[in-house]
Amino acid sequence: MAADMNKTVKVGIISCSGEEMAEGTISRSAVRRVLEVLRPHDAVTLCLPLFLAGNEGERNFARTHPTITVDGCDKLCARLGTEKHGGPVARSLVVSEIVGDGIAGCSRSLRTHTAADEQAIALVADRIAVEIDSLLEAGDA
Amino acid sequence: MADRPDKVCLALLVSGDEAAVARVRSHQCVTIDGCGKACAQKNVEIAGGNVAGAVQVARTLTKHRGVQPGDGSELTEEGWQMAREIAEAVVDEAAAAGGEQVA
Repeated sequence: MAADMNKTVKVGIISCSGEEMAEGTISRSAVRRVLEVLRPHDAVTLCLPLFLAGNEGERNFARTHPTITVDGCDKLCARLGTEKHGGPVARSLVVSEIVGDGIAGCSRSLRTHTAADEQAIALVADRIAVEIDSLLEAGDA
Repeated sequence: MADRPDKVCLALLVSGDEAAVARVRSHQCVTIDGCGKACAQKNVEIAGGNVAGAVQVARTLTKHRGVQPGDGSELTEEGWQMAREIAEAVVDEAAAAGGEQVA
């Protein structure tokens, strides 16, 4: 990790917006769970569309803090966009890889939330939390 | 009007994905923005798409002062009611636009 990283103990999480697919909904829900329940004091989220659209506040945070990108699919919009505008990411997660075949029973809409969605969200959220802990323990945050 | 509207990932569009750009250029678009920064509307316009209708969730919230819609993780029943209201606004915008829509 770059030596000039801000020493404030916060990790930036950048989630897929993924309106087209269930993986996007799972990405955003998992990130919310991390922020509100699992690691509320250790992470913040950056708005991917705002980040990509050129908001300097969002980009500056990504340049000075470690980031975890959570992409829905292998297009990797969050990772590639972050690397282009904010520098290297500390961790890159892909929902479709974490959830695997379990994604088949998931929904794009929270209104039709099922047990499969809940399982997928928990799986991804737990993995994000593990990566945050890993960064904090390594002193990268 | 097309039988089914379609959706485009905003991040994919902003990233310059050729297929996403082509879709917003070849269809009438209805954008749905969460806040006044209007990322969806602005980026469809930047991509050369035609924004036939623009809906902002924040505007709907101002019509329901005192209502507790929930949070980023979970909507309350009032929040779902507002979501339905916004969905109806999107349908109205799409109907007014005619042709095929993406949002």
